[in-house]
Amino acid sequence: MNSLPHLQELFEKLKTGYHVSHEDGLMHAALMQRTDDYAEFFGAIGLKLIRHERDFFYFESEEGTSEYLPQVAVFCYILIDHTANLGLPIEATLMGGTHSLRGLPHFTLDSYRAHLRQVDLLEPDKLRRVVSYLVRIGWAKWVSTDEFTFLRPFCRVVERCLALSEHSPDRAHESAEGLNDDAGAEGEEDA
Amino acid sequence: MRVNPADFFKFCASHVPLLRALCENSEEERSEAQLFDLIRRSATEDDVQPEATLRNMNRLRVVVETEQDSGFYLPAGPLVQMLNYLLHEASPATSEMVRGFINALDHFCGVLRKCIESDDPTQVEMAVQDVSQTLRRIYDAVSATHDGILAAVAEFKTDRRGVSVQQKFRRIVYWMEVYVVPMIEIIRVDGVMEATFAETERLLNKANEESVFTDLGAIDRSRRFVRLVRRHALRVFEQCRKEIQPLYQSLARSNNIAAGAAVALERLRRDGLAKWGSEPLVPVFTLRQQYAVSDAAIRLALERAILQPPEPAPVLNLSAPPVEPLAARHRRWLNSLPDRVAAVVPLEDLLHWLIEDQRELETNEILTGFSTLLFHEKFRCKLTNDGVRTYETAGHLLRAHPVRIESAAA
Repeated sequence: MNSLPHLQELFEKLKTGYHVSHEDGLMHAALMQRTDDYAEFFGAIGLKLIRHERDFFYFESEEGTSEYLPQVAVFCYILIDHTANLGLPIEATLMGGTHSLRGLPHFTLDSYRAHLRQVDLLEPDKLRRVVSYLVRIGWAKWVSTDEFTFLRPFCRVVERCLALSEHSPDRAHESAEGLNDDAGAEGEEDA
Repeated sequence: MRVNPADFFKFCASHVPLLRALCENSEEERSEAQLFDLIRRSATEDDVQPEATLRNMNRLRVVVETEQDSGFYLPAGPLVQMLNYLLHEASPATSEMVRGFINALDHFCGVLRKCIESDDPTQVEMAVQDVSQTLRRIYDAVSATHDGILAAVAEFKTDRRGVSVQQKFRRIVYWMEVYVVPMIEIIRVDGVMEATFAETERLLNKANEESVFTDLGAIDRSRRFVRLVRRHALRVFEQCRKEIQPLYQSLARSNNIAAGAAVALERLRRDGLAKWGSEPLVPVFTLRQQYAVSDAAIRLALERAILQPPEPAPVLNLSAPPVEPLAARHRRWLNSLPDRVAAVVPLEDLLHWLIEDQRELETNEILTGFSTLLFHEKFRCKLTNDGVRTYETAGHLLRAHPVRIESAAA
C-alpha cells in the first residue's frame, strides 16, 4: 500500500479541500488508475475519497466548515443568475470560457450587492479572494492576473443548484413528456 | 376576375421587396396612405408613381380590399402562402388544423362508403377526388409544421437578444405543447389519423375490388398517397422530435440550474445569512488536525515506551507525621525570637543567649537566628568592648566579639 505513487503529495492537497482533476496531470492519472487502492488507504484513517462521475476526486465532507463557503456560494449563484438572465447556456458559458475579475456582474445590480453584503463581500477587491479560494480548492485556475477559468469540479455548484431547484415552482422535467422514442419507434415500424 | 399569370409574375419579380414588406404582417390591414408609404420605401429606380403601382396591385389581386370602398387593404391569402412557400417561412399547422383535415377525410370516407353502396360511379369519382384533395392538404399542413418548427428552432439557436434562459425555456415548451405533442396524439398508431387512413385505404380497395369506379389509376394514386402521407407525417414528427428534444433537455437543465440559484439567493434575501442553513452550501473538506503525526514522532513515542517500562506511581503518605519536622520547628523558633528577645533586652551577649536558649540547634541555625535579630527593625545591636570570646555550639567552636542588643525604641 505504501507503494501508491504521489501519496504524500495527494494527501497534502486533498486534506485542504482540494479537488484533483485532469489539470493535475500525474496525480490525477494515479488516482484514476488505482482509485480503489487510494480509497482503501485513506479509508483506513477515516477519510472518504470520492470519485465524481466527471472523474475528479475529493475528500467527502458532511458539512462545510470553511468561512469561505457562504461567500463562494453567493459568488457562484450570482454568476449563474446573471448568465441565465442573459439567456446563455449556463454550464457551457461558465465552464467553457474565461472570466475577468473586472467583468464580473456582482456589483452591477443593487439586489446582487445586497446578497454580497450578507456575506461581507463589500468591495470588488474581495471577489479576488473568493476566486483565489476557488483556485486553492481546485475549482478554478488563474489564466492571468485578472482572468480565471472554472475547472470541472465547479460542476458541484451546478449539482447543488439542481438539487435546490426541487424547491422551485419553475422546475422543469428534464425529459420532455410525449417526446420519448416509443411513439416514433412504433410509427417507424408501421411505416 | 381572372388574372393574367404572366402579368402577375412579372409584377412580383420586379417588386420582391414590396411583397416581402407587405407579407411581413399579413393579417394587418393597411390604409392607402400606408400602402403608398410602403411602396415609396421599397421602390426601385424604374418604379412609376405609387398610385399606378397600387392600381396594378389591385388589378393583379396582390392586395384585396377588406370591404368594398373601405380604403383598407390586406395582402391576398394565396400570395402570402406562396411567399411563405418560396421563402421557407411556412407557419406550422396546429393540431386543430390537422385534426380538422382528418375529420374532413373521415367525412369524405363516409360519403365514399355511401357512394360505393349505392353503386354510383360518378359520385364515387367525386368522393375519391375529395379524399385525394384532403390528403394533399394534410400533407401540406404536416410539411408546413415541419418547416415552421425548423425555422423556429434555427431562429431560437441564433437569437442573440437578451432573453433569459427561463423565457427561452417557456418558448420551447410552448412550441412543444402547441405543435409537437398534440401531433403525437394524431399520428400515433392507435391515434385518429391512423384509424382514418386505414378506413380510407379499405374503402379505396373496396371501390377497386367491386369495380364501382373504372378509373383504377386514380384509386391507385389515392392509395399510394394515403401511404405517403402516413409515412410523411411519421417522418416529420421524428424530425421535429430530434430537433426539439435536445433543445428542450438542454434548456430544462439550464432552467433548473437558474431556478436553484434563484431559490438560494431568495432565501438569503428573505432569511438572512444566519438562517440560510447549510443546504445552499457545497461542503468542502477541511482537516481539523492541521499537522498529522509524523513517522519520527511515532518512532520516538515507541522508543520511550520500550526503554522506560511503566512502573507504579509513587504512593503519597497523606497522614500527619507524629513528630514535628525539624525545619518546621526551626521556622517556628525563628518567628518567635523577636518577641522573646524583646522581653529580655537589653542583653550584653546576644550569641551566648541564643546558644543557651536552644543548645540542640545546629550552628547554621543559631547563626540564622543571630542574623535575623541583628537586622531586625525593633532592635539595635553593637559590639561591646570586651575581648574575643569562645562559644560552643552543638557541632562547633565559634570565636567572636560579644554583641549587645537593645530595643530600638530605647
